[in-house]
Amino acid sequence: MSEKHRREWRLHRYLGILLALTSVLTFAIVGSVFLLNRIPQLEQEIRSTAEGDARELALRIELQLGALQDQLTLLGEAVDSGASPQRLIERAVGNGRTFRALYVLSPQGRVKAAALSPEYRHLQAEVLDSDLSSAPLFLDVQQKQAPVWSDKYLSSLTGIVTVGLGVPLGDKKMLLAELPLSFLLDIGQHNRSDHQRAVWIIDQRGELLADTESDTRMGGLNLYSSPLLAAVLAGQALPKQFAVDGRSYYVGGARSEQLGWSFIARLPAGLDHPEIRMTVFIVCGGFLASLLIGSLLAMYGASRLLRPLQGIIGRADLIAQGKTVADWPTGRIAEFNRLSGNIGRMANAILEREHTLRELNASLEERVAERTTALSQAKEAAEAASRAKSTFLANMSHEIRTPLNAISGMAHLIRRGGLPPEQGVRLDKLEAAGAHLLEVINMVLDLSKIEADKLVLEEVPFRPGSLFENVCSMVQEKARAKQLVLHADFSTLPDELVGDQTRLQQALLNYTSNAIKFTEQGEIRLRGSLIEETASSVRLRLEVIDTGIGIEPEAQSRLFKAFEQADTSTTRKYGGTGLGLAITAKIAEAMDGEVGVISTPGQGSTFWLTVCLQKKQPGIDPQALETPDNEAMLRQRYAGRRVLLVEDEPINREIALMLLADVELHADSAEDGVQAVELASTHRYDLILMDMQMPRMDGLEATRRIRSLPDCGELPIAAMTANAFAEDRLRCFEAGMNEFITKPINPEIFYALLLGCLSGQGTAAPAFSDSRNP
Amino acid sequence: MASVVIPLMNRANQTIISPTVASTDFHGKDDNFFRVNRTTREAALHHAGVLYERGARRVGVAFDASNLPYSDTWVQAFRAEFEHLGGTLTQTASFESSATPSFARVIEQLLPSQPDTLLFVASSLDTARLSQQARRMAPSLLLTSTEWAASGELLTEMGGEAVDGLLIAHGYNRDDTRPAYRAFRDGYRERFQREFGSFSPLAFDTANIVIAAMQKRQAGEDMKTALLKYSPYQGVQQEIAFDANGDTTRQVFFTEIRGGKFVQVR
Repeated sequence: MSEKHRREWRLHRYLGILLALTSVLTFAIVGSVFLLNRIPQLEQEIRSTAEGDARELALRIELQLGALQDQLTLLGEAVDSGASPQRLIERAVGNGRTFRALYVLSPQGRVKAAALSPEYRHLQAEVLDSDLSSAPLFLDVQQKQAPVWSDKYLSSLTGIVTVGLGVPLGDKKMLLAELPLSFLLDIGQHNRSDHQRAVWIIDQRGELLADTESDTRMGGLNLYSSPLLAAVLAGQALPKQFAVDGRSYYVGGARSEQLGWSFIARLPAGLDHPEIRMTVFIVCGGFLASLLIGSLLAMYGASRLLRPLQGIIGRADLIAQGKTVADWPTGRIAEFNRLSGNIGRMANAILEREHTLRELNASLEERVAERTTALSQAKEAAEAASRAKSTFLANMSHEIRTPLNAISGMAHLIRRGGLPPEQGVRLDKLEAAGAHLLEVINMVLDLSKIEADKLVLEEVPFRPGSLFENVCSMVQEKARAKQLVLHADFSTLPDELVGDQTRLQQALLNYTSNAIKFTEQGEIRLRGSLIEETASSVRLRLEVIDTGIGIEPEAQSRLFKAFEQADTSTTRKYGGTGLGLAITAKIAEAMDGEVGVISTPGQGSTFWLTVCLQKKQPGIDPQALETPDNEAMLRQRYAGRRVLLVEDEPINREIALMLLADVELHADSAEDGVQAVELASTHRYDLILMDMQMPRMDGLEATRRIRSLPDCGELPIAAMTANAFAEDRLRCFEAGMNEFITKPINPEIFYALLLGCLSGQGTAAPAFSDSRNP
Repeated sequence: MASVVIPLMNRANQTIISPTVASTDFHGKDDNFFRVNRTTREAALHHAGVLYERGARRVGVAFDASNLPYSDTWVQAFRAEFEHLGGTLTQTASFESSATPSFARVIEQLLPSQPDTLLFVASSLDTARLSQQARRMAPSLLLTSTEWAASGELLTEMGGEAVDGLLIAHGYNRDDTRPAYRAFRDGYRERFQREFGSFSPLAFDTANIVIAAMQKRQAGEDMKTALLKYSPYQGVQQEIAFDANGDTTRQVFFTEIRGGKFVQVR
């Protein structure tokens, strides 16, 4: 499982972010709680302040206007008392700061006396006799006969927006004062401590009389239908905020019953209000400050932590480079000191182990060299042993075959010479003993070859049915001797296949020979069947079924191992080397097949093997291997031809010469290679039969020399030797020989060889005197 | 104001509509400007005819030079039409309402030409103040004023007996008893605690036109197209139909103040 990729952090950055986050989160929580509680509280305080301001302004204006009203009432009383009204009102107007204009109106509403402030004084004459009888204020005063404050109106005398105060005089006359709206503004802005606070003064129609924030808003605002003014007039709680011209305000209101006017103080809402802004700023500033302080503290802490850590890292680097470090840093942090100490001890342990390991490595190299030498020696010994084994086997084979050749040869010659019947039977036994001996030595050589992986299969066309015919022919005598019935069933086999017929026949013969050996009565049945077929190959099953003694189940698994038989008593009773089945198993295995046995003790056994063989390709004629009557053909075609027999062993030489004489060939003999070369150089031969092992000069050297003689380049030379190994055959061919035949000499094969060599067509028989290729 | 704003809006390809603009400067042009009021020229020609019919032959004119595009056009059109009818514009006198003019002096400028009628092209306030001076100096003269001063009660409140007999043009029918007009008049009084002004019906009609056009406008349709496409619109008292240039006309009524009351005379 792959390790999940994780981002790496520098310690100071990691700690910085961690601590900054911690402080930010902490402050964010605390700040939020503070703001959530403090802001509504502040808003409430601001609204209370606004309401107080409105009340305070209302009261002040009431007082000031009340004072004006009193002043005007006194003035009216003075006018009524007969004083010159013109002089009185001109003095009262003065510079116009309080009254812009004062008029004395007749009961009909005509202006009888007028005094205007200096800026409007040029109109003073023309306003006289103006008719104000329809003016609402005049009508109101006339009706109430009491001082009346007007709403805001346009003065038809001065053309200015104004607030009027009407005071009744005697005889239905009236004193009318026009107050500039700036007068109200002056009152509103008097002692104004909070520059953020502004106040609207609103008349009974909801129209703005004055705005302490702006003197240009006149006429632009009418709050008559506004819920804000309705709340002020009704004395109810005001909305928390009021929006006008796109800005929100905290508002507080008051109403003057005396004037009929409303006063609405307003302060910017939200962050527009300096106190709220400052509060939020302080919290945000604290937030940023905590972030900064947290980050700085973290950086400082990280640098303090890093100092010893960097010392440890630096020394660890030295350790990694294989250097020795004596002092490990310590500081004020206990954990770091422990870490430093532990790493120091660990580093020392690593160095020690490395040193030990290095020493171990050095000794290991020595041991490897020693072991390599020992192995080399063992290998050489094994190879020497193998060579000794091969030499032993070759020598044993040679030494057995040589006398065996004499025995079988002599037996053959004796039989040809004619014998009484009882002597013939004895000679049969003699030949059988020789054949058995030959079989034993061939099996030993076979197994040796197979186990050395030197088994090479032939690929030649053959007729599968001939396997059964040959085997039956070979064991027919033995079966008849035991009165056993021999059956062969191979009708379902293909007509022709390609493979190693000799080895297959050897395997089948092993099974059949065993069957005959272990069956006292009944029958032996050989069966061949096709069990699998493809376009190019077939798989055959060959079975040998007997009615013999059978095999115990526990012994069956050992049967196909070399030198194994069902039990030791079997060997004693029936003989045999215990190699036949092992060789059969190896042959089946080499042919991509298997072997097995089905057996019931006392009832018989079925030994089987499967093999894979190629189908025959067109053009190959198995009939080419048909054996003709070689002896007659030799006598008929090649009688009188000259043959040189090179053989150091006198008996074998005698036998060979007699076999040659039987077919009327003229033979010279040489006892060693030297003689052979001399004879070959002085005589013309049609064929040389050459033994391999001879005194003075062996057959190989003699062949090489003969080949170098004039006219001897094409001379047929056939090896006839007790050296039965394939290596021996190869050496013979390399030396220049054309054919190879092993001892003991089988006369039929010998004659086939002679026929082949003399006809110039190569061998007409198997290269070996027996039926198997060792 | 209009002479400054309208060219800017045309350049910005923004539609603009006005309840009060009456100047002929923006009449008959395929621009982005719509008007709900009739032009000063129409008003002046109409006023000249009515005055002539009522016997006026020598008219002295006082006008507010603070709104010269309106006043000058009005006076010129009136002079041409009145003189065309056979009357005489004896004298003109201007004043600046933004200052604090002496209206006695304005009247004094007109009287020497011996007019039989004094025509004021001025606001309600100034008409009231001019009337006060005119009555004081020449009580027998016929007084008349334009729609500019037609703010109803305000004129009488300020003018008192001085405005008695004043002939004034109104952009609406004061005697209308239909529910739409009554609802508008009562609603205004309820909202603002006073009578509506001379241009209030025009402003109300204008707002309703814009709202109706916006409601009927299809997706992707610009405001100018919508205003033209869904014309005519029903106003408080009369139907407003724009021509291809976004201009319209308006019926005007003449009233005379008699004993503080407005009496419709035409």
